[in-house]
Amino acid sequence: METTTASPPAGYVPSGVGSSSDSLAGTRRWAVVLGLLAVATVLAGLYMVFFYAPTEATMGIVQRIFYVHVPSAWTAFMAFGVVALCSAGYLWLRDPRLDAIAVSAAELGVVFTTIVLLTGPLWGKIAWGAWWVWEPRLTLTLLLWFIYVGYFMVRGATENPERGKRFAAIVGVVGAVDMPLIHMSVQWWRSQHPQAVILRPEGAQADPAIVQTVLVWVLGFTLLFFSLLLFRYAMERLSQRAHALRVAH
Amino acid sequence: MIQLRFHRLERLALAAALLAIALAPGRALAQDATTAPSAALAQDAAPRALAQEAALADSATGAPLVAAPAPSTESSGLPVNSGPPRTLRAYWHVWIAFTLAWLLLFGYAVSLGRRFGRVERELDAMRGTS
Repeated sequence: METTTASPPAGYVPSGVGSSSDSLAGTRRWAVVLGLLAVATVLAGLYMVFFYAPTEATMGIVQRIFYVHVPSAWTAFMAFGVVALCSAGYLWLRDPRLDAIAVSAAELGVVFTTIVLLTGPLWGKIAWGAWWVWEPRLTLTLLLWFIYVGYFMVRGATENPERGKRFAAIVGVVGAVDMPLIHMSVQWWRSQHPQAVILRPEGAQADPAIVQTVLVWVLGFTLLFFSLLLFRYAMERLSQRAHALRVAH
Repeated sequence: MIQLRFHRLERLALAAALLAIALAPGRALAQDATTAPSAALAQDAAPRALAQEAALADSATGAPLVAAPAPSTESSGLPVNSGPPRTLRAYWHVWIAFTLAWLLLFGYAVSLGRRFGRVERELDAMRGTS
C-alpha cells in the first residue's frame, strides 16, 4: 500500500532540523579518530607486506595481492551484514536512522566488493592464466555486487522515497543470502578459487608472518570501514534533514 | 562533449600518479635484486621455475601458504638461468592491485567529502532563508 505524506503547514520546521550538523559533531569526531587509526594501521600493513611478510613459496610475489584482496572481501561482507541487519530493523521499526546506516554501509560494501572484483583477476591472470573464470565463488561475488548496485537503483526508482527505501531494504535483506553461499562455495561445489587459509576449523594454514600481515590489513580495513561509515551516516542524516526542510517549505 | 577541468592540486596529483606509474615497475625490480626475501626467488630462479609452474595449479586451489625457503649458497655445478620465473614477472599486477584499491578508497573519500560539503551548504542556505 502506498503511504502518502501530508504536506506540513507553512513555516513548520521539523524537529532536530534547527540543530543541523551540531548533533552529528560527535559522529564526525569519531569518524576522524577511526580514520586516523585506520591510516596508521594500513601504513603498518603496507610496511609488513613489502618488508616483513615472506614471499610465498609457489606463487611468488603475486601472492601479495592476497593482502588487499582478502581484507576487502571481509570488509564487504561486514558492510552487507550491516545492511541486512539495519534493513530488517528499518522494515520493522521504520526508524530513518537505521535506513541511513543501511544505505551508508551498502555504498561502502559496493566500493569494497569492487576492490575484490578488480584485484582478484589480477591474481587470477598469473595463477590461472585467465582474468576471469565463471566458477561459483567468482560468479556469486559478481552477483553480490549487482544485487547491491540494484539496491541503489531500486531505492531511486520510485516516486515516493519512503516506498523506495522499503523496497531497497527488502533487497538489502534478501541479498545477504548470497554471502554464506559465497563463503561455502569452495566447499560445496567444485571451485577453482583457493580454499580458506585463515578461517579454517583446524586453524590458519599459512606462515605466521603471512597471517599476522593479513590480520593487520583486516584491522586497518575494518577501522577504515567504520570511519567512512560514520562520515557517510552523518551525511545521510544531514540529507534527510535537508529533505525535511525542503518539504516543510 | 565532456569538459575536464583540473585545478592546481588535481594537476599535481595527476602528475604524481603518472610519475609513479612511469617509475614504479623499474624501482620494484631494482629493489628485488637487492633485498630479501624477494631476492631469494631471483637467485634460485631457474631450478625452481619448473617446479613452481607445476605447483602453481595446486597452490592456486588451496594449498597452505608457505614462505619460500632461503636460497642455498652452495653451487650445484649446474648452469643457472638468471631469468626470473613467471611469478616474479607479476610486479605490475601487484602494483596495479594496490594502486587500484587505494585510488578507489581515496576517490570515494574525496567524493564523500564533497557531497558532505554540498549538503552542509544547502542546509545552511535553507536555514538562512527560513
